[in-house]
Amino acid sequence: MHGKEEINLRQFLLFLFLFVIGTSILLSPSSLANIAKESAWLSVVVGMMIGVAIILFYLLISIWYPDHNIVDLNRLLFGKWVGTIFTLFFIVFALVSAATVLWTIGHFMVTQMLHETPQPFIHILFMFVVIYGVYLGIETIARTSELLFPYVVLLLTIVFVFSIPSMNLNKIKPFFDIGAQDIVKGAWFDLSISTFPLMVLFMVYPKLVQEKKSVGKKVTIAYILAMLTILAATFITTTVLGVEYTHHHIYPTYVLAKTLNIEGLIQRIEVIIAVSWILTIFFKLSLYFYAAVTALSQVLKVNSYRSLTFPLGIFVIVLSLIVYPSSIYASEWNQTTWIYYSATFGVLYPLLIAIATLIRKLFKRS
Amino acid sequence: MKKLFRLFTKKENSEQTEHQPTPIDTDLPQNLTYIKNSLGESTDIVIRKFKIGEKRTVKIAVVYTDGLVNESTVHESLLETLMSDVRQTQLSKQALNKGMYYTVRDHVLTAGELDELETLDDVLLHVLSGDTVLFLEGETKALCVSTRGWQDRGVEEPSTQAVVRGPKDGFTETLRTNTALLRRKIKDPNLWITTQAIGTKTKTDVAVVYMNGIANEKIVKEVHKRLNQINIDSLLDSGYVEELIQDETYTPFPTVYNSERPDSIAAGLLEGRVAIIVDGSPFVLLVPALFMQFFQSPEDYYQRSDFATLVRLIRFIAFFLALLTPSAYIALTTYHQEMIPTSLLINLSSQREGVPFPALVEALIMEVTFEILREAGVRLPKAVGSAISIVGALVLGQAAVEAGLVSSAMIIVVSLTAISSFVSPSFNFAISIRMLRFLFMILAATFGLFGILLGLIVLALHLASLRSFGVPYLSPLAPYITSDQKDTILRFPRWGLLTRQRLINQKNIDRENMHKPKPTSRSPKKGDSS
Amino acid sequence: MWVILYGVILSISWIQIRALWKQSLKRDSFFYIFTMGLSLTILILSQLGLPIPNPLDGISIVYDPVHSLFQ
Repeated sequence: MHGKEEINLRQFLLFLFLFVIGTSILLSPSSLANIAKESAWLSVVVGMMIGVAIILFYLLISIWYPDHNIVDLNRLLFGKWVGTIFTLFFIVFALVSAATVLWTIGHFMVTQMLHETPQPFIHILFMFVVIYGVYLGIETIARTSELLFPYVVLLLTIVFVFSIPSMNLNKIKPFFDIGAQDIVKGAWFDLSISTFPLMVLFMVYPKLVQEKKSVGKKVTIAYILAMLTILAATFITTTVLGVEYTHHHIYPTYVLAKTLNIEGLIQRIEVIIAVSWILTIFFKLSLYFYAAVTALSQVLKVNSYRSLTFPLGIFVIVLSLIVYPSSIYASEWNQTTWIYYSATFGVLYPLLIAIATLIRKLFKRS
Repeated sequence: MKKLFRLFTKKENSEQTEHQPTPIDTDLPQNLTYIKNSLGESTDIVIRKFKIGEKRTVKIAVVYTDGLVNESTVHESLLETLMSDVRQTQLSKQALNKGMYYTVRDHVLTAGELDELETLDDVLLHVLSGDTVLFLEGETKALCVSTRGWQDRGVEEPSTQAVVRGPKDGFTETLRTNTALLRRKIKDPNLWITTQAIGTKTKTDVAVVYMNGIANEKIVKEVHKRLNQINIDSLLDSGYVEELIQDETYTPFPTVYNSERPDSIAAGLLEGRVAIIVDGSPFVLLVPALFMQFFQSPEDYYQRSDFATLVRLIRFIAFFLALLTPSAYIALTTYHQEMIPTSLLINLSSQREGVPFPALVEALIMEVTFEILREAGVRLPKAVGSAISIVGALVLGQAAVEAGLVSSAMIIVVSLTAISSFVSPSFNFAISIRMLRFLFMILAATFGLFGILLGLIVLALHLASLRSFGVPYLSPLAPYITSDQKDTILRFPRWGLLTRQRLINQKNIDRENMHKPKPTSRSPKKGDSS
Repeated sequence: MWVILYGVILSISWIQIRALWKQSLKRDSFFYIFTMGLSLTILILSQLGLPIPNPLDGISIVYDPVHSLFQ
């Protein structure tokens, strides 16, 4: 199905990094401040620890089935019919994720930067770029990520470094004054945005993971670095803006960059955050969309996934226009449904695969 | 495009099957008539008939094109030897017994390059290429002597890619001179040159030059394959070849590098690239060409490494300035006024107060004006050109501001863009920036910074999708190759450039074995004396 | 603006479908037309102001019991 397209381990790790920080760097701090209050950063730490285990579990499945992507795997383990139904669920998940991500970028642009532009046009323009990227192929997207990744890191570093002087640790005192339940809840929320969707990444590109021996270590390091970026974002926003202020804004990192003022020299650097965020979102959206398109084209047995890219892209645009009627609906849905929905695919489904694998092995022996 | 190719090939094949090469006849006048008729009795074809031999029995004819041959060679080593010297020399009987043809071939002609021709079509080709052809009565073969020597420009300083420090010789229109210039730089037996004629009408010589053992054989093969696929009537410049062999037609970016400088091409050959020299063009092509190559000037290697790195960074900045300045101005003044510092914003808006157009129109007016001036400056006679463009820009700019058509900030933006676009060492790369600039301006006018950013992402995607003869266009940035970063944006000191580029060259990677120079210190240590 | 957009979408589709058809990829062109038709229908209906069922609501209904379980 993939033809000759292959990406190497370095590119995969970049994808992983960009995918994890994609939406969460802008969205997580607000919700985390709401759930875990002063201990928002602690939630990220807890999330990171659980996340490492989850990531390694995904990797394990990839190593078990190096030659199977999600469609092959479903067919192999659950039979033709059930497997196809599972695949369709997966496609819906990828499409819905893509649509919500697209809506988020549209909403962000309309509320923060382009106040007079109608939101649908932002969706359309952005999605056209994604369609173009997916049409050119995953190799091209991977190379683009290599080209743009340094800028993402550079821009984020600038914002983080310059906000250090404005940090005030008193704002997150008292430490640890919140129940473990809330911290875990916050961690779960963070995982639902950053880590569970990684299943998509691992399931679409299992082949490359067998390349090198120290793959586990490298993947873990890349994941931890990405989570540390989120941790930094959360920690800085809560210490600079305060917990209340952070959770009242949908995009606290952006607001943070807006308020920065270093001796009058450096101010109004929010565009930096916007740029790095749009770049990461682009890759996250492309990967979701690529996963959906390739899986669907494999199910439908069409000649090339490229023939379905454009119509499915239009479908994602349409979907993005109807998924969230408002930002209140969005945050409500994220906190009540999305955390379970993504956990279904991020935790339950891999467990199912593991169990099915064990059963298969037992049957083979007997 | 492919269809067109197919059309061409079909036509060509049918022509070839109908057209049988005419053999040389034993009858001398008949051959000469054929030549005369084929060339329409063109006046620059010289046919000289005379008789040679002790008793002047053998009829002979010499055919050449006036102006394409070296007159003195033809007179001294051909006509003179044949007409007078032959009679005076005593030849052994054995030699004479073989026949006049062999006598002439083996004992008379003193030219270095000699060919035997069997068909009249070959004769025509050689005559038109500047060779001299001898016909002997009663022979079915003709002798062809290389007497090529026409007026050419001579080696001059190249008009493009000027350097402050470095060799000042440049390629000329003559293929031989160009290959000689390369041979003079690289005296290595592994410098291989193969030549083929392309163009059904022009029969232009195209030479493929590479370093055997360094160049990637796959790329050499690919170059030959693509050259063989060319089927066209005329080849007047290397630009034709470039367009016919490049990987992707629909891209604003050049995927073939060209240069007028032998040192630049020689450096490319030593890196493992393949050069294509087209007769009649001083611009030699070099493949594969990578994106970063267009930010590098040959001078980078002749100057100090730290300075070269700095200059490369400046070129990089200039690239973005040339591409984005007008669009950033449009985006900021139209959508994101809050990002401009307040005092500057007040200045800007007071200037723009009287301007009746939106920022996009304002920018378009000035950019288009500038492009027109520039184009006019290129085409005008040299003496007038530069003056016109400078005066035009100044006067037009000044007057436009005073008339309230554009704001003076816009003039600054346009001038900055213009100057930045001249920084690129490669002209055809600067063209791509000029074209893309307008797209970015439209994006900025409709979606502000968001549009510009998306435009940049599309640009990055497009660049990442390009390949030049199989090598990813953006390498070594993407795919990232650590060992090649030494000579990409940075330029390491010469003793640091130990390896050749990975993707271009795969087998002979080590370049030199040179350590950091350590001059003997002026005050030797005490221990050294022992 | 929307008119231009529909024009762009339809012309791109036309070019791509024609290319698919010429390669005699009937299956591909069928699914192309199907997906595109579905997307455009929903788009037009939503522009006409008709209520389109939100798939997220459906997902919410499925996960509601889970949510209340964890609360």
